[in-house]
Amino acid sequence: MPPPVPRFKPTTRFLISGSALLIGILALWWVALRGPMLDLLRDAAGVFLQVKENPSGEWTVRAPLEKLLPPTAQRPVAREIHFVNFEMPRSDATRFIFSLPVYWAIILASPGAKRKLRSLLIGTAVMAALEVALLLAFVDLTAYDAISRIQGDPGFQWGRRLGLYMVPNVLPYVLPFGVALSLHRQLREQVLQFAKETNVQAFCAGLPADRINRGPLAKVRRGRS
Amino acid sequence: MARSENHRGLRFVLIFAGILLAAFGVLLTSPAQYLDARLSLALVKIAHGVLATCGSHATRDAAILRAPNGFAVEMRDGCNGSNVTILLWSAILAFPARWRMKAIGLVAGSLIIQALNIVRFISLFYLGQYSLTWFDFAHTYLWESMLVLDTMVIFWLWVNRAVRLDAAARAAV
Repeated sequence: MPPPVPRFKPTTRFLISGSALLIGILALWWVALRGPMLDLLRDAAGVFLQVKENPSGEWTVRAPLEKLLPPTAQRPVAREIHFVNFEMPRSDATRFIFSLPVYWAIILASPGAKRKLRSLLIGTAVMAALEVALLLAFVDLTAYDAISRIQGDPGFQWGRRLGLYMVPNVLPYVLPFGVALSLHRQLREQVLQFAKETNVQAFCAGLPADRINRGPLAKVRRGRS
Repeated sequence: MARSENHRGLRFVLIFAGILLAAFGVLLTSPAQYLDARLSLALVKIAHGVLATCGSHATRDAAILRAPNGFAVEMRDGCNGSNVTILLWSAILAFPARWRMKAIGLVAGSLIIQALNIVRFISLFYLGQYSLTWFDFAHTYLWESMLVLDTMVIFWLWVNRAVRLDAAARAAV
């Protein structure tokens, strides 16, 4: 008789399978999918702005931006700006395509086979759209930041810095988890447990006080105090 | 009941997003950056201590850890786990639970994250000596994502405990 398969708690199962899937899927993405996904991102972003890839692999981005720079002491003539060109290293662009494999790993590690496929399909489309949106937001913020530096305008500098920090350094890491929790109901219910909390309260509300003060519920109560 | 769940979910998301934005805003200010640099320094000191105890000949120069073969790695900005700590704090503070439970979650969760971050830093220190390409992969993508996953599991474990204690206590009052 084969030894019984150990049954893990949902948290342990999610941690083990999630970590293994993250390593496997991200390694596959790094070796095989990174190049094609970068090309797709460049083409998708190309619908909204001009993106060219240099022979070195760096991107030259032309962000459309209509702005009139008023004359200053150093520059007596007003200047009209229609776009901002800047170089974007390939490694910077790569930050906007790795959320998708992270999302796949989270969903595949989540419970429930039926919901997995649905969440995988819808989530892939949502994540792909969010990745393009993040790249466009980053380009816009960089262009505005460049113009503000030329103008010497310190206004809303903190907000720009926050945006330029959040968009490439925080959101690509957080969004796959947020989207997975939004789309996968079973995972959301297990993690946030709002339904469970409501059920326990409703259950306890219907019990007389002496029932709550006896047995496992009383143990839980005593543990708190 | 479903409406109540939706209301709680929406409230959680809004408070979470608000705290997250405010905390990252604070993190970018000069005093917080100073404290952030001090935290990096302390973590590198601990990592260096761990390596020295295990017989490594690595040397430390401020927040830089240097191998005898010349490879060096510096802990800076988001490398000290401050980003994921903010993420965990925002989630715990946004979740409806007793303040005592929140305080326990904030302290215990931060300690676990920092312990994991030291493991991460040491593993990157050795991986970088083997391959810079795989160092880049592990540093920017793999370990960062793993830390967010670990943070989600820490939060999940905390919610398990908080919900059980809170609901029973509230109903028994």
